[in-house]
Amino acid sequence: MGYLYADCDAEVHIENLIKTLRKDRKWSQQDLAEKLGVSRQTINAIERDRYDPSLELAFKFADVFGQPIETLFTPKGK
Amino acid sequence: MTDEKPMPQFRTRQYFLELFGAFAIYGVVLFATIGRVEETDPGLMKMALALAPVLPLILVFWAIMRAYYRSDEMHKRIQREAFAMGAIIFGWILIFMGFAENGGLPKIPMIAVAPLLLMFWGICTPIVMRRYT
Repeated sequence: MGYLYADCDAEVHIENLIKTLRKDRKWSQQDLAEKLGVSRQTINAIERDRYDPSLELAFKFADVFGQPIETLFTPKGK
Repeated sequence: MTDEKPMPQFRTRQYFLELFGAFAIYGVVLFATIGRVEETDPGLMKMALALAPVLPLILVFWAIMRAYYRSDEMHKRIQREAFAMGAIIFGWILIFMGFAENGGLPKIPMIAVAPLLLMFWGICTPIVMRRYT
């Protein structure tokens, strides 16, 4: 499917610490999904770097984990 | 974080109840009117009977849009991409069939266009979803 999304190579790719922070708190993906009001599939996709959250959702992550956004999400390679 | 009302969440059971409920109403109206249209003389009444099944279809589209707005951001994105992909594929097929009419293939009836578009949307959804799951 990569050939369909060739132009996406121009996007900035984001790394995140969501899985690490979630496991530290012993939350399941479903637990975190309920806290954020999203589906478990969305949490799974974010943790696997398949989907980057919107700014609004990123702020919700920061609020739930009590961490600044910049700690949770960083551009790849930085 | 401000106190916010929780976003309504997509629930599969609720969606299928609303969707199939709407289709059930559509089916009842369709069967109630389809025979009577033939028997009715041309005029406003005939047109009203012929168009009666269109009204419950509004409920079908309403159920689909409610499900979309209840979905979270990733699922909305998946649906948008799947709809775009399905519309492009179906558009190509319509153009193909348009030219094929000159070669003798039958016309696609107008009434089939919306269901076929929804069908291609449905086919493309799992294809797009693979990118995210």
